[in-house]
Amino acid sequence: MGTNIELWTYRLFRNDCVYFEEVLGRSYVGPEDSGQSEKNPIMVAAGKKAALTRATGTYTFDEHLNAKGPEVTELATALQEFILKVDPAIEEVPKKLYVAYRTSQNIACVEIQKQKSLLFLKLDPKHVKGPPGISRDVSAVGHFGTGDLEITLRTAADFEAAKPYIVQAYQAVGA
Amino acid sequence: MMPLFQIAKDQLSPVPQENFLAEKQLQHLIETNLWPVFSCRLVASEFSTGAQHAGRIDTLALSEDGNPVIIEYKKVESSALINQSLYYLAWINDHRGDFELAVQKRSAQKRAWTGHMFESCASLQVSGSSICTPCR
Repeated sequence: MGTNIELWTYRLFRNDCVYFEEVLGRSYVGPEDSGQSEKNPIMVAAGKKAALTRATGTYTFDEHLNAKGPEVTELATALQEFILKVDPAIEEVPKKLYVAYRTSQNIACVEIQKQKSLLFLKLDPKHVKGPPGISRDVSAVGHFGTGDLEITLRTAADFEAAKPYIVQAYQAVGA
Repeated sequence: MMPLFQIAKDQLSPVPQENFLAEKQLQHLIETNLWPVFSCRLVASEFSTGAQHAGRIDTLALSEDGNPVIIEYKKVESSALINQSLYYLAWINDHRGDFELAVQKRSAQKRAWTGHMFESCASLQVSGSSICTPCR
């Protein structure tokens, strides 16, 4: 089972401010490698990778693009690039069913589907409505990942409309 | 790091840094603000790991995606912090039932936890551990 270890440090200031900073990036503690064997090394490597994925829950962004059309792939890649450029502190954490983007907490989750990508932002839909027509309040609706404001992305125009909200979600987290 | 400056009209004056007087102070501050800082919910403070493994996890929490989070605090930087955390991490991997019970106990007290949280608990995966330590 995979594990994240984070090391944070605090700075306490006399004017009643405290600042938390991650000093050691997410380090991953994986299972131990088992010994040598005389089997076909390629098959062994493939088997190991599959076993590692199952055992540790390590996934990649590219796995989410498997069997997706060129439009969806292009949009999802542009989205990934945009989110990661909002701030260098934002980390991508691919999960089995979605990809999370986070600093000290999740800012956005992306679920890449066959026809579209769903973006879940950590914004309160009661106060922030999101781009009209493609946004939905999912605070009481089951969905993968975290975030209460869902934005459905099918076209480049949808993505353009969503951009300011991604930035707003990042600023709201305050990291 | 550059100091932090306080703006007063046109004057900038550096804000001095200090340390918490006790680990407990830092722990209390984090525990009462788990949601705004780390998006976690408190499960238990000073969680005992039983007679066999005799230890106390400073803070046990549940992350926003439903994973257990162990938080250990130190007033000053030390490598013991990492070792201690790894030890508790191994313990919780081996005692998932204890964690689920602790979550249930806590959620019986606090109704604010939604059904959604319970679902995530049922499919428990141990993958979180954050550690807090101050700078020198």
